[in-house]
Amino acid sequence: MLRAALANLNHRKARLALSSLAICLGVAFVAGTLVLGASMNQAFFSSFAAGAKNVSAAVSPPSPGKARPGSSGDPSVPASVLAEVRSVPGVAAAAGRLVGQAPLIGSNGKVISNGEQPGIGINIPNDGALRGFAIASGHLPDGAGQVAVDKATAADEHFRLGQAVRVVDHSGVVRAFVLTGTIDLGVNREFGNSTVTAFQTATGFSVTGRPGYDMVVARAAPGVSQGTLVARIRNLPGMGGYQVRTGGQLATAEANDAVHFTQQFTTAILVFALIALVVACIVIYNTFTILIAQRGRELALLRCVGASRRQVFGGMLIESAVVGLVASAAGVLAGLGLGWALQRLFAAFGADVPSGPLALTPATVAVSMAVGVLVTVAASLLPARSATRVAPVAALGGQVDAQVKAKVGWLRLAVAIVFAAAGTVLTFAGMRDVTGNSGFVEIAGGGCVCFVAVLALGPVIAPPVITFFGWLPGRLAGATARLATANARRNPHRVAATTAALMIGITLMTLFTVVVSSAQASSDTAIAQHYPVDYLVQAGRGGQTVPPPVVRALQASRALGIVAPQYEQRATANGAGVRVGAIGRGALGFSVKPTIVSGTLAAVGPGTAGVDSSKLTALGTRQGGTVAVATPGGGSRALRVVAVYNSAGVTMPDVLISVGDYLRYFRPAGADDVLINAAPGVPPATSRAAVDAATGSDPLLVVFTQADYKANLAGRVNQVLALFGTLLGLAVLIALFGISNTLTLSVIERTRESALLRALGLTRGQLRRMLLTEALLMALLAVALGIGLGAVFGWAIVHAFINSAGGEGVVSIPYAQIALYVVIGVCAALAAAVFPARRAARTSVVAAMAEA
Amino acid sequence: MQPSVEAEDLVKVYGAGDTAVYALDGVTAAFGSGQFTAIMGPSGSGKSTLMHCLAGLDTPTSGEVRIGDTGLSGLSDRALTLLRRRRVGFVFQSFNLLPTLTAGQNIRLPLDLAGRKPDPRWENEVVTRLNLTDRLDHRPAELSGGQQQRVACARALMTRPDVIFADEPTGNLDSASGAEVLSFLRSSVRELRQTVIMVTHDPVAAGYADRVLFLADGRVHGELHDPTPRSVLDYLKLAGV
Repeated sequence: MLRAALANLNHRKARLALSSLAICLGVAFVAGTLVLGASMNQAFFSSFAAGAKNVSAAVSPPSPGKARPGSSGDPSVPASVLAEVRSVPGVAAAAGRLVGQAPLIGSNGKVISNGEQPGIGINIPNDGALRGFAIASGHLPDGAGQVAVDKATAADEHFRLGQAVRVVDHSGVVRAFVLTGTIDLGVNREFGNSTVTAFQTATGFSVTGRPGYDMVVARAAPGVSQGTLVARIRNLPGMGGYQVRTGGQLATAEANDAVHFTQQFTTAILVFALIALVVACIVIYNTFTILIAQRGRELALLRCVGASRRQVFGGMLIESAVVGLVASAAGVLAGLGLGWALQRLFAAFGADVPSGPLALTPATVAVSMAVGVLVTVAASLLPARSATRVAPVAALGGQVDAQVKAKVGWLRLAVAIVFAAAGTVLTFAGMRDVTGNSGFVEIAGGGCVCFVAVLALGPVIAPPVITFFGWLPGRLAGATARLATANARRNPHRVAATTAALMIGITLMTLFTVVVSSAQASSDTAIAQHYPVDYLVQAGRGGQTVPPPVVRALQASRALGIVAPQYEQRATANGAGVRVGAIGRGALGFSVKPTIVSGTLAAVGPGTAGVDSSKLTALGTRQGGTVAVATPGGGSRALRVVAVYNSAGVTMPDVLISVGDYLRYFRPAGADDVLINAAPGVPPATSRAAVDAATGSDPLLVVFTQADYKANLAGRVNQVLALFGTLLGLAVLIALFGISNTLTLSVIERTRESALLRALGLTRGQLRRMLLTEALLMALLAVALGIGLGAVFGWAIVHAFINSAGGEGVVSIPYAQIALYVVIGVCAALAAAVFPARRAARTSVVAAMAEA
Repeated sequence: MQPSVEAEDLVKVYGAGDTAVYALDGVTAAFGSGQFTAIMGPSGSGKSTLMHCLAGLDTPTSGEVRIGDTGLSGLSDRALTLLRRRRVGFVFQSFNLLPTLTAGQNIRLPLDLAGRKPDPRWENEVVTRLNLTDRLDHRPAELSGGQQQRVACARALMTRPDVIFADEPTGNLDSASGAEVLSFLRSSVRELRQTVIMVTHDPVAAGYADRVLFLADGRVHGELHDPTPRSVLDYLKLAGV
């Protein structure tokens, strides 16, 4: 029987090629997704958790929650701990990391103060793998008199390698060093946008004046797990007070500090792998089922010449296992290539995709191979079993036209309805659930369950939908289109299964687009929440103010959007001592965003005021009441309370009045500070130049900037989104191959029928058009269902996001982009049909009629 | 009698050199208009190849075929297709109806493909003659073999073609259904002046024809006029083919 099975493989080369292609593609998709996923994971953590790279265990001081790194009084890890950790068995290398203050002096001779912190100094650990940063240019210091500076600062200040740079040490002495290189720290929340100067370790201690390290990190020897290493370090004497974490915990903590969706990211990668599995299963199952159904006659012949049922069945198993194994191996290689090609493709289109080496792990190979072989065998089992049940003679003598099984079982219908109901309930529950991530889990679950329902209902949905879409072409193109409609409807089970793969792809594309479009609409708001202003202009010394001409110059700049001066001083209101202040228009509700208890901040104008809810009792007033503010001139102004706000987490005065009233009552020399946001779409360099131009004349003014950091962060988020797009592109590609494959098979299956039509007077062109129309109808079916499902669940997910974010965010449905998917889906399906259509049209009529 | 279909020195060679097989080796024949001709011969005699060449389904290696006054040699695939659509009808052994279409749609298919409207009186006449009036909405799977073949006959007749080719039309039918189909073919010749060329190996079927053309080894071996099953069998015995 083995010989018969193998001979069989050799015989049917065309069909074998097609089925192998299907398996190969399915496996390629799984392998490609796993490979890309692993690469994405690496890229993600090297972007957002560069400090945890190669770290197996990390020892931090008892309370690592410091507001500003490197204040000399912060707790630290003494050098003795480093020595102890080094001696732990299983530690390949250990290093101390030092973070302290080391203000760097800029090209203009002033201390560079980007962000909220003065410059930071770090040491360079001896172990290259444990540094936590990469060398961007030049080389690291190899003497006490040399330093390296972070590449952003070096670029901003136009530093050149080999020049002298000056650093203020902890005792206030300015020390000069030679710049030997620049370093790349990734996105690191700890350093923010501050300048970072890297010293040799001893120099680092002497500049920053820190008593010890901020963290001791260790790398495990091969074969020692992170957990084991952490346990051993914890058992060292005197480690009781220290926090010891695994490298994984450190990475998650760092990534969480930088962005707030680490967990979702990891989950998303897993979900993609699952999607890849499902699509691959559908494509493989489909092809193999069709193939074996076509071979019913051949199997019957085997039975006629004396093969037992068991032998036929066993032969099918061997055959499918061999095909599965060979094609899966090819698929793993193809997947690797596909992942690589897609990375390059997206990079070519300008998406900033990490170009690290693709990660092909043994697990990836094992999973992909297992999927290929098992699904192939499983897909051939059912049809093989039904084939062995047919009486041999009946199968041989019967009509060879494919049997059309249009009946849909009650069981299927019932299961589908139950699933649809369960999925809907789960989704709604998920949308209401605002605790952590569980809402998304419920929606994802609900989505999958609903999807299964649609798949199960496919044979019921397909015929009417195809009839609907086929109506117009039938009117326009006549008989050819009507034949195509009839063909597309003829086997609802197969059409449903064929289009399922494309439907999954389109569903995900749509869902993804809705979520991304909404996320991008919301993400500017989200970043703005964490980093509300781009620039903050302050007077360098206490008691000084930002002069009105500077404020006016800033407000006149086109590159700057919101320029809001802030004023505040202590005053008496209703007899109580409070802080009275004013904030320029534009910033309120944007970069300064308190929780509104009642009324609206927009109503605060001449003669009216807003009050912090915690001061209502002290002031003895309420919404609609009055506050009488004593002015320095000796008078008192009664203001009506039009807004009550809660200033928790926001810097707000106790009593907020309008800028006009403030200037009249208190006559300040200038603003305490100015909150600035760049105009929409203006790049950081331009807005920075505008701020510098307006403030440059006044040496006392200090500019804090976050624009670069924000732009950087937004860029990294977009990069992650681009990667998801890459994976989805892969899914759609595989689905299209699946459609092409099924069409080709159905063309082969209908060789005789096509020949008959040609004999009756169907021209080659008409035959091609008929098959293209068929593909078009199947694509429309998949696209219609996919876009419907995708839009609904995208909307549900965005709603859950908004709920969990406390009601902030917007649902944005990008109609133009979705319309583009319709066009892409249809064009791609037509492209997929070109080969089968040409093949059918080429076949000679007589030869095709003769073929059984 | 005006010939409807003519073949002149038809040669059809498969393969080349030593392995060349002459399926047709110089066949010259004329098929009169309004005549029912049967082509007979043992397996491999070239009768199917002859029919394919006459019908424009296959192109001969050399020689000429004329349908009416149109020569087929040199016609493009498209021209041949249009010729088949307008001037040729087919009835095949294995019914060959489209499973997705109803009987009525199958009957109108050639006209549909040409984008022409059927003549309702003619359609009615054909359907009534073939006794298919209450079967028009059934799909092929719901029809018996005889009914399916009657649908195929109706389809062939709908375009009022110059000639109908029937390839073993009774091969898959029981004798009663076969007789029904053959009677219909004969009556369409007698009453509607239709030209029919039928390939068969069944002497009984050949007995319905006006004339039998015998083929052997790719050549015309002889012919019989007004045959009966008996005379056909006698001829076959005598000729030893």
